[in-house]
Amino acid sequence: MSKGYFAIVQNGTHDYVRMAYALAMSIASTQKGVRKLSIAVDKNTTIPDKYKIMFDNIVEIPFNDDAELEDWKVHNKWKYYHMTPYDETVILDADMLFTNDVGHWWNSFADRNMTATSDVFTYRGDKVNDKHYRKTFLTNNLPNIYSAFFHFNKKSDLTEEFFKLVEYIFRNYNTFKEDFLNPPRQNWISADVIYAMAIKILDIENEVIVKNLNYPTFVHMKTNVQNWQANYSEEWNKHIGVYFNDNCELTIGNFKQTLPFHYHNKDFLTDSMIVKLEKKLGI
Amino acid sequence: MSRGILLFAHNNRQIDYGKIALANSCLIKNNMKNNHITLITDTGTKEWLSKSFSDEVVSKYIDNIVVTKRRQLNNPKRFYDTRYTKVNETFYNINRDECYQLSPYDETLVIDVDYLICNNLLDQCWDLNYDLQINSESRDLFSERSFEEFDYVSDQGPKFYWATAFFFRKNKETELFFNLIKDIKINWNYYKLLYSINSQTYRNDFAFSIAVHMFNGMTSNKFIPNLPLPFLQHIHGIDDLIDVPDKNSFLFLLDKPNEPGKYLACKTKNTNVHVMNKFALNRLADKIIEVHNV
Repeated sequence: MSKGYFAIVQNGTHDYVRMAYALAMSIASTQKGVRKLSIAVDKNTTIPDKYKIMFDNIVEIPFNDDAELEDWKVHNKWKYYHMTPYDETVILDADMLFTNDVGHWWNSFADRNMTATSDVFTYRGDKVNDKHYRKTFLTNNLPNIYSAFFHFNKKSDLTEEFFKLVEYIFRNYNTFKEDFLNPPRQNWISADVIYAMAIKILDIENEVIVKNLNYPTFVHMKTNVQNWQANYSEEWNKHIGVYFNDNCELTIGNFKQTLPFHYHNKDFLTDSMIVKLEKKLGI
Repeated sequence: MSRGILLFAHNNRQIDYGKIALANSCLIKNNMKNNHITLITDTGTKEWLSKSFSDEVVSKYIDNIVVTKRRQLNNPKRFYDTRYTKVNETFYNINRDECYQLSPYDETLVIDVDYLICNNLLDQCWDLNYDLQINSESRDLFSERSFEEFDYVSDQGPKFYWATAFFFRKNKETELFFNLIKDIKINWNYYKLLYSINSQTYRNDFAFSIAVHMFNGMTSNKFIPNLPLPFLQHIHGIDDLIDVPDKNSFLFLLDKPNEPGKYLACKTKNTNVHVMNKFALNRLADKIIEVHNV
């Protein structure tokens, strides 16, 4: 069974290829078992030669580019099933860094069709109770899943059925939104909402979410879930110290990070971090 | 292995911590099995205690008195006596870093004198295989009320831990822990800045919270577990303690969150309570001794 990580990388207003490069380096520098990252790009994306060595496979997004005209390029996120070169895949967002070995998580994925992240954490290690960004989830009692770290087994019939439905909802979101979601409903397409709707419609929440383990998970660096009292902007890294040492250990404020780190704010990833990762890997 | 309870009492101009320590010692002797008590105090506090109570009463409840020097401090703290009175007074009880050196026991349970012990739950700490035990959660007796200042040491900082009650077994690790507390205390201005703590007052709770955070590898791991209680319980300085109706029982007036300055009466029985209104405790300490000195 081949295993690997997979991310869709499409440059819009930000350089996601650079983020994926840093992600791939962080995986290579922290993971002992599964260390491969493949990416999917659109036909207009150019990948510097230096970056290419870090990616296991670079595939072109099939069935045209559904996100071609969009600023926030999430519209191809139903295609993972068709794009991944692996039997077992963990979907990642490109704006993440790995900080520690999570190899044992893969053991828990064995014999599972799919495994969704359902609880995420703040940089302080507190479980996120997201009432700010997840109003659609709360109002509609959607399973609280995050697609930024989502495992699936391609050989599973259930996985195939799930991604067929995900595709259908992506293509008909306006109809599904009206029929299945009560206000306040999101008008914009989000993979998290669509995946959650598909899980709810197929009634596979218990199948997909692991209740007795606290992984898979990640640190979710959105400002309004950090339990801060002050009213900070979404550029969270302007309000708290970020320290990335020569050994590529990440500390936020006074907290060492040990989980996959979903930084969201694209300014977070500095050239200095990339140089440190390259040095660690001897690139 | 010797086992015992360590109390600290250093009077200031208005609060007789020695008397409160004696009152809590009565409660501890009445309720706990491992109840050998050592009081860490200073000459002035000890003399005042001797003047106020007979040697017979003091020695009945406090097995051992260790006198240390009360250093002159510039550590003002705001003490509340309900919402209607607040007083700035020096807070001398900041020498928890000396526990390791001052404790005559191999296994020590340190209890703040204002954490009134009304049951034997803490006796279980000696049976647990954890060399350091301290709680990060304390719940308000008024269950609808919570104070954010007790969640984290600062808006972006680590979890707040309560130095109100903790257990340690002497070994190299716990010695290191208390050395760390000492370092934090000596370099408080640095740590205060590092952890964005706005309070002017040095608090044992802050130093312990930072030390626990560092011991946890700068993460929120539960490397240091709780005492054998899921949480402590407290009343705030804006509340009042008004009576000791019978053994292990207290009557409080709790400030209503929706009607500040108005109160809800509340009676506890066999519940450990951290009474943050020291003035109220000062007023009721004699009654606690009277009810429990039998």
